[in-house]
Amino acid sequence: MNEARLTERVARESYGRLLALLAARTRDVSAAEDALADAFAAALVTWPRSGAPKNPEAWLFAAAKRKLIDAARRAKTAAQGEAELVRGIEEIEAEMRAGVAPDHRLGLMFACTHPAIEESVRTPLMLQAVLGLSAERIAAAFLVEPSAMSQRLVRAKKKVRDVGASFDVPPPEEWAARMSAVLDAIYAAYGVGWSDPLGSDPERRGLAEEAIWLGRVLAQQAPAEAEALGLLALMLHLEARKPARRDAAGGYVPLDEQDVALWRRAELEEAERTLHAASWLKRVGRYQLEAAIQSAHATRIFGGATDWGAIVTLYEALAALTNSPVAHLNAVAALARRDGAEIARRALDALSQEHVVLCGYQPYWALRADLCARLGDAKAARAAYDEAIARESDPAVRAFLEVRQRGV
Amino acid sequence: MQYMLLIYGAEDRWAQLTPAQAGEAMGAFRTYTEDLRNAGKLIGGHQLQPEASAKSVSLLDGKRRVIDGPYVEIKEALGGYYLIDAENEAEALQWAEKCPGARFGGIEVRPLVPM
Repeated sequence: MNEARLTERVARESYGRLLALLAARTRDVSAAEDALADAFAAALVTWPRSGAPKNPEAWLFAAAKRKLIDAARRAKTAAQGEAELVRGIEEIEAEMRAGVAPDHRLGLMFACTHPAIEESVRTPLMLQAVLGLSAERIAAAFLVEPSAMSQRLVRAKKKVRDVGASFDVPPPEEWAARMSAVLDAIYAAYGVGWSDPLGSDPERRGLAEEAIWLGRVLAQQAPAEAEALGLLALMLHLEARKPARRDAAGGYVPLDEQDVALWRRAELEEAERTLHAASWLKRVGRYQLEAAIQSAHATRIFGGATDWGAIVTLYEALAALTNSPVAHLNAVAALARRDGAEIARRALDALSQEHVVLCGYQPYWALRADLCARLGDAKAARAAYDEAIARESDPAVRAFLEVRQRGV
Repeated sequence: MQYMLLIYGAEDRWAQLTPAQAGEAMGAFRTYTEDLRNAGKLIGGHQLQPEASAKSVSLLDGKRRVIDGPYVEIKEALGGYYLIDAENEAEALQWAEKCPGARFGGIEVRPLVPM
């Protein structure tokens, strides 16, 4: 990472902390953004030229101080005197200088994924509030007009204020559901741009790095939350393989055929460490299981063969936990590797009767085609490939399926 | 007529500002951008990354060569630009004068060749 990116990262990290701190007091994300906007912009211009300051938060706070006082003045209640208001701001400033200001970013993440906030806007809201991404940048990743994204974000922030969405961590009885909303919102950010791993379309730059960043913030803020670690491990595993997911010509390369030399070792090892830490907490969940599946695939980098037995077991556990048809489907795909195509096709027939929705899903048809081809049923294989190709929007994957079909 | 306002300034001038001054300078740029937009004069504009991040491409001898940095010997580097729509040069100069960048260095005003 170059110097400019590093300082940008420091600026965004401090911005998120400061924003969380201010918004936690007022519950007003928009007002906190307004107060910090100029300071943040100044940091993005100044720090790459001068180097990041030793205490970035104190710098940002000093740059925003006048605006903060103005904002507080506008928001003050009749009961508050001017002196009290300035004192409040000076208290925060002193905490910043001493480096003891509390980190409220976890609370901010909970507020962004509050049940009153519409699900589709939770991820954009979090990216903007926690990392300071612009509406334009977010809009480009989600393929919507910047003005539309802006409006959605403004409405969501108003909602946060109106419902008085708490920036406190939720009580134990709500914890699991609220935490899973945070996890899902972060994972949704990771999924944006997944079909463009080379980042070949600059206008559509994905958010994988930003999602991992959010995942790190969460894991650091909630270190006893096994699923937060699981999610981080999962994203790191997927990210480690990114360079191998396309060949030099941009063609799709399935996991089995990826060149493990292209996998990024540092990320993979961090993923393994993180998952290991999660397992110590003894609270298994969806993201840890998914990360464990990736981990079982990753053994190839250490010279081992893929442990299909373990993968079948993990997918079955995931399917039992989530009852997701996709998890069941993956369990069948792994079963094919462990027990052969014959057994897998029978399992697939049973599965498609139980979960009819799978018939609209590309990987279901691709798996069926592959199993039929392996069992020597060329006609059924070609027909299934037709179904798969018709349901795939990614040109690279479509091309891959067409090659497979011709090979039947 | 379209005019390019090229904002030149000493790179290290930003580094010497106190945080409060830097925050205010950014606020001034934002207000200025808003003024241009509200007056219907703004076409585009951007800050540029520091000079050190620049690369130069040359095809002079028929071979593509990418060189790190333009290695400016001059102190003032291009820090950003605005593309504006002004009635005439006098109006473009007035806008340039109002640009906060004028206080940090200088603004070069260049009319575009109409296409």
